[in-house]
Amino acid sequence: MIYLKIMEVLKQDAGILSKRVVNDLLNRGITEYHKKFSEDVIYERVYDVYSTLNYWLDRARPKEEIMKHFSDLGRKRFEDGIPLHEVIMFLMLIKRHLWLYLLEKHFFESSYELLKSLEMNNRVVLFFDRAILAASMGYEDELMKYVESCKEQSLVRKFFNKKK
Amino acid sequence: MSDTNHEGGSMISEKIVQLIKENADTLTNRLCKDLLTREETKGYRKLDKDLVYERVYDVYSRLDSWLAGDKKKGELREHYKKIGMTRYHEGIPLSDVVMALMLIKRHLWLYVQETQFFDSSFQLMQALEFNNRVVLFFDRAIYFTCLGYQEEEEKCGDKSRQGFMSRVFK
Repeated sequence: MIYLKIMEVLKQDAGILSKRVVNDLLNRGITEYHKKFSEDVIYERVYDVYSTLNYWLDRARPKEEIMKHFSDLGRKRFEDGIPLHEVIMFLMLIKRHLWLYLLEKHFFESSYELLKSLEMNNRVVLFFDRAILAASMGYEDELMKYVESCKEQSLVRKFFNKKK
Repeated sequence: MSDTNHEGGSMISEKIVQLIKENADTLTNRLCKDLLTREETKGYRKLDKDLVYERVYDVYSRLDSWLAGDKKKGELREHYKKIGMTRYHEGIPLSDVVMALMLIKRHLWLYVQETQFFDSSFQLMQALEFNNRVVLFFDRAIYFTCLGYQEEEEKCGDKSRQGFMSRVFK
């Protein structure tokens, strides 16, 4: 029941939640690299997470699919030149604002709902842990590829310089 | 809601904190076993087992003062940034470090669920609030560790890596 109620909130209020996250993200002194992008781009990125959360939170969703999706997100953010700690903060804020919103709406009243919300909360936290881990792995992977290509280029340069 | 319920509720949070402190050794042993056998944290296998134990134990045994709000946010920032810097010099990949902190949090909550029973709405609400305090604490710990790691990488990394890092941290 709680799960369905939260899914309904995500469906209806993904826009409101996304605006709150964008506002928070762009006003924090610790997320300066996100400011290189327009508000619309950031909004779209946040909205994309909220609007697909019901898909990701489905118990039938294989862990590998989550890992692949967020690992690709990490790679893309590397290409964007955003430091990893900001990528992590981006995902943490999405999780945090969802929770604050649910508290604000007095979502959990009865003992049963509270018990279920404790379970649901852990499911959401576990999902974001996986998303953050996968994004970090994808980001690091891309960073290593970049380092290797720099080394190769430097070796090629050295080789041709010797030939000259 | 009666006062008795309130007392019972506030005791939940204290009880959990006490439980973690008193069982830091059990929790640490569980975590070390998981950490040293997982593929996602294989970077830790190159460290001495006793050292890994000590570090995990350090997180669990300090948790009560962090969660009680005895320390300032600045202290948390410095403490975890330093951890990030140390892990960088040990050559442990950042994603392994992130996963390790997540596992410390996960094992903590699994242990609480295994040993505690919340029977009233107020106790459940307190447990939910406590859970979120733990989540927020670890979010901050992960963020600052990552920040410390990346700053050290920028300062000490090899030249090609520095090239990228200075592009990012310009």
